[in-house]
Amino acid sequence: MMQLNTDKIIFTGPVGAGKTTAIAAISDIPPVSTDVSTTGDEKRIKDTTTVAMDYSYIELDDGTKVHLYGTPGQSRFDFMWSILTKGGLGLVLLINNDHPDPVGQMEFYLDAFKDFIEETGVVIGITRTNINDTATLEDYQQKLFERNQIFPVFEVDSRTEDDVKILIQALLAILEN
Amino acid sequence: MHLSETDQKVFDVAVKIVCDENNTEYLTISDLANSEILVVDYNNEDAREILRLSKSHNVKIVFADKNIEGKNIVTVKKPVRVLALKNVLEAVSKQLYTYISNTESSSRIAQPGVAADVRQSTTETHTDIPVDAHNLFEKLLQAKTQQACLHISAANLPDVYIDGKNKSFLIETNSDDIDKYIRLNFNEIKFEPVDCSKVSRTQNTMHISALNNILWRCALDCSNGELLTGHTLDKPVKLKSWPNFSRQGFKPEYFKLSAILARQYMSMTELNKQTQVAMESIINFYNAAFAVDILETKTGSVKHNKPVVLETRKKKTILGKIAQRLRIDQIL
Repeated sequence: MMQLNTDKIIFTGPVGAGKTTAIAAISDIPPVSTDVSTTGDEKRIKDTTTVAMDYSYIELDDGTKVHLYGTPGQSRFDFMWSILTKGGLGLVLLINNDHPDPVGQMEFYLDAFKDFIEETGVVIGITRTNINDTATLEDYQQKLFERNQIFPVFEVDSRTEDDVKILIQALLAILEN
Repeated sequence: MHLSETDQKVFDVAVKIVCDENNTEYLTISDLANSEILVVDYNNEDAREILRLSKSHNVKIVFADKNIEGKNIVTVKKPVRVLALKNVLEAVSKQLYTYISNTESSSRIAQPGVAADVRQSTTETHTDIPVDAHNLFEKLLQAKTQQACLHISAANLPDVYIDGKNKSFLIETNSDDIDKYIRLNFNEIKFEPVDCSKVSRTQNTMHISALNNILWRCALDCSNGELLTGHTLDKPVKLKSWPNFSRQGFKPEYFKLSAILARQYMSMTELNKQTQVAMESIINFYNAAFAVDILETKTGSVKHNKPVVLETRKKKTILGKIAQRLRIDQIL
């Protein structure tokens, strides 16, 4: 079995949500990705997707590495999700607002990572809001409210370091408080 | 009332204006603890004692240097100005008139307990008496609450329209230019009520933003640690949702406040004790969260959740190190 360090933050979300890009925005080295051609509906969104995981890290001042893992986007690789999250610090969920049902996607991932979220915490970043504004931030918040969940939801550009840092900042605040 | 000579004159003038404008022959206000409206100078020791002895359901207009908490207390900041006091008196007398009318009609129906209910509901609303806006934030919040439309202008600045009905903010240039208004003295800004249909007609030529985004910015920049009138530091509140920090102004401590208030009800006083975040920041955050409708309140005492205890000290330390490494300024 692969040894996965516990000082890690997990990035998850559907294909094309920007997980690999978000990891690249804050990590010390370019993420190591295992991309292959997509199939089916996902082909429409992206030509390649991450099969096993993305990996990169941030090296802290004392030399400790905080590992950043991106889960596979395609749900047929969801067996990897529980392996990757084991012992992790928290979850960054990225949702592509360009998806036909982005709010439903958010619900799907919140349910899929329910146990991990309860043990740690989650922050939600909505990407591509400039391309598609069918679902507004209020729609996501309303759905969370209906589910009796209050999680941070921010509009982000996963290419922008500051936006990704806001997600991490909120996650750290949740974990600490 | 134990008012100073100047405050007494200001008070007399304000009362006269209210009576003249509303064609009222009288407005009876006294310094007795059992009065319907009690006006006191909080800097006077005897007045403070009268305030302490007063009945909780009565309206207390308190002249003070800082916001005074308590049921049905309306603080008028010193130095007291005629116009501000006049607006408070007007709002209070209207509420009182409604209460008296309701009580009289209720007593004619002679249903036992009805009058008491009306009284109760009326006095509960006293804490939300609208007073004159002291800054741009309060003016915008008024427009939103009252669903009013406003034209805002100032010398050398682009025109702004507020559509309180559609909760939108319209500006000729860019929404960031609201900062120029925030930097102005409040009395340099001109506010003019306008027909909302006129605002609708300008939409094609203006940049439109959600009014809540502007309210959030203005609350943080204009509040200066002053709690909204009618609100108290001791009422437990909770967030209904997190603020959208990615597109709105924030300070590092707002993450901490949000994380706590997303989890449980807590008053501002308790937040201040537990987090060591400055009360000014807590109040500014509260005002902003209230203005964008993401706060819910709870009456009575609340049971606090135990903070989530991290597994090990090592894990707690790692969070601080991550923040440091990413140069995230935060108070953990």
